[in-house]
Amino acid sequence: MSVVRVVADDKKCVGCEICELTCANVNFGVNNPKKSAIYISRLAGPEGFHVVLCNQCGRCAKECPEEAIALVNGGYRIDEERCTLCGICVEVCPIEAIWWRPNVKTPVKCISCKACVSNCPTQALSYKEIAFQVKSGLRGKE
Amino acid sequence: MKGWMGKILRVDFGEERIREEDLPEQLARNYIGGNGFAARILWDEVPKGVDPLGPENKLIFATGPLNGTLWPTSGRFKIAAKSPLSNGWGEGNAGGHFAPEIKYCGFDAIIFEGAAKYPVYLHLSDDGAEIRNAKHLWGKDSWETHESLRKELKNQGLHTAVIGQAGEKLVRFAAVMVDKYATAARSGLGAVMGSKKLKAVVACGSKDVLIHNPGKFYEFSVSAQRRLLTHQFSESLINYGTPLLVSIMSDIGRFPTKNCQQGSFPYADEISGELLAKKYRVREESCFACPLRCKKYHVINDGRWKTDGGLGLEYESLHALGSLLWNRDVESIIYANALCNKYGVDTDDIGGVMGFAMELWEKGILTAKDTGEIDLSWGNPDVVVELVHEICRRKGFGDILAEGTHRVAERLGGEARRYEMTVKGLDIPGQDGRGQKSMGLSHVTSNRGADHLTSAEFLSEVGFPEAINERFEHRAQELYGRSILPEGADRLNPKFKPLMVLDSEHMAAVADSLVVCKFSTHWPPAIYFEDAARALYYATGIKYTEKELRLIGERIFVLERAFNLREGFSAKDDRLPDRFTKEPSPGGASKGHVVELDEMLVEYYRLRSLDQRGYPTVEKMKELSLEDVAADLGIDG
Repeated sequence: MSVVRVVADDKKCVGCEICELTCANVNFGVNNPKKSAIYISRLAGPEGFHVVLCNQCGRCAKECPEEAIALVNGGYRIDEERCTLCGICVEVCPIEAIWWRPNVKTPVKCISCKACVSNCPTQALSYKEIAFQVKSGLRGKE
Repeated sequence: MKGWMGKILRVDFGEERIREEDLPEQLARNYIGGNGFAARILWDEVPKGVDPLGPENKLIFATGPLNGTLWPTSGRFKIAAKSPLSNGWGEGNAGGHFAPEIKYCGFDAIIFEGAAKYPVYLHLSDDGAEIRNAKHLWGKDSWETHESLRKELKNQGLHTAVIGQAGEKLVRFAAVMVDKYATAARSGLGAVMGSKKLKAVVACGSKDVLIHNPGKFYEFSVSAQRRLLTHQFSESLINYGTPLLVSIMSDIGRFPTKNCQQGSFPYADEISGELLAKKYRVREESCFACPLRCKKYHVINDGRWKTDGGLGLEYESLHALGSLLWNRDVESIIYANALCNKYGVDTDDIGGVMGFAMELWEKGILTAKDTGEIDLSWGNPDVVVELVHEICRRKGFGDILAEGTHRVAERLGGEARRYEMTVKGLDIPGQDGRGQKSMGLSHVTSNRGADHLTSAEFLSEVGFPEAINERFEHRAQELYGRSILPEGADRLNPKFKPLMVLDSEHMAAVADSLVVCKFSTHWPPAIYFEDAARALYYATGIKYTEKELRLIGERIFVLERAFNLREGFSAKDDRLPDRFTKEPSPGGASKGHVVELDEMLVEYYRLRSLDQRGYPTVEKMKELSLEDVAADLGIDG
């Protein structure tokens, strides 16, 4: 098994929101960055941007009392049928990359579809495939 | 409705009432959005002769059907009102990330009417709109206002359109500042906002922009994004932003210098895009949904002009605060530009009025007695910065200059009028028409007054034959039975320029209604009528054709002109200052050239079906379905 981790280089981010729009288009079929599973935190000063997105650490899957989060095609996904909307995943995410989004039933997180990676105009986004072993956890492999 | 949100918000400060109205389907279909909406609404609702700074004037914020989507450069919106500078059609256009939020809050456009009794701001969210007290914000600059609002509303995702002190003080060329650094600069719309005591509009919403065919729209948007990003002309814009133009324009004699006395600046290399990138740039930024990141962030770390310069030092400001004033101190330009953004003024007009005053000083028309002992000799960076403060705060001599070049010239009368570099009350922006004939014409035909972006005819600048051939060959054959090349690509040859300006004006009117950036439709020339028609079809489900879009662009342009005609404008206002038509460019690559305005204007009037008074013919108005407008203007067969 392996996970696919989409990685952002904050220094290359120019804040255009194309990743957010792509995510909302591909995963929700709408033009609305507020529904995106990738989020650009903008610091309007010289500091620039910080991109927040799930690193597929799997903590949410471990903590979910309904076992509604599982690894599918390299990304942890929330099963809408099994999710009881308890919000524990949102609370336990160590990097605050799972959100309640307006007018979306379940919490939203990155499922590693990688659509944003190819649309990013500055190549600030890339992805890594990481081999996954139950005992030793995540082990880096490009 | 798809693409559009289907709602117009009407905010009446006099009655302290907010109303939501359905967006009329015919308005949407026939005018698209942005400028189209604004032109129609101002025509219908702002009668002739109202005071631009009085409560009868209306201020309009308008988006279009592509805003808030993945379509490239869809982060722009239009602001329009009767202009306190020109007393005619006024418009500004800004990027940043504010425009999509208007739609995410559920609206296509906002109409502001009347004037508030005390300072207010408009709060937009998913829950609707609310007028709130802004007394605590009055007196703050635009950056402080933006930061204060984000802080007190505890929302870092909030986007803002605000005025600084210049708008509050009704400086006639005050701007509306969007997300701190993007500027709806021209036409004095910040003063209109100030006259309504509207300090800010803030928006943060989460409604979807619904799309007719989401799959096709996504695919087509992604391919358009890629086409724009990889266009052969995009690279230099990506690398340097608009400041890349400084050296090039000075080299071709198109860079207004010393109040437009000349078209090249011997110190251009000292204020160039390359230099800015090397010494002062700390990062880059894009507006919403734009792949080109043309905005560069500048910081000066030490020295007397130490400053956090922010984003948005554009070519126009390097010209207006630099060469136009013979100012070669680049750090003072970065500093003064940041000040202009904080106070909220158009750099073109504030530079214009300073250049005008400096020339009057040179000619002995203004003396120390008039200026309050300020020495207006060319090129003193301290004076440039001092004047920015004085004008924006309306202090001393600055209070006079805050009325703008045209009004100062009128007041002084006599010889001073020879040095007034304006058209319809707006200062000539960063193009010396003697170095690019189509720009000389564009300054005159633009409905908002001297302006380069109403036509955005940039293709003949340094001659891009392929792009010119692609866009205009068909039209040249149709109209003249001749090839557009080579004359069309020769910036110094007036031949074909009326056609190129006219067609560019129509595409620009469409861009201003979608609302998208001309750095996608005109430069680089990546998106044209066909693409816009297809994107609109996928977004709205309405089968626009290229032909129909050309007609809509023309309709919008002519309706804006009609607004001016109703206010008393006519052919006599379609004039350039004599400097451009009678004084040959004194040196550089355009030496000896003047703008052959009369020759070009005769042909332009013919192509636009204008009579000698500058009025469109009744046939043209019928073709554009503007019969009601024609009747009001007294145009009949």
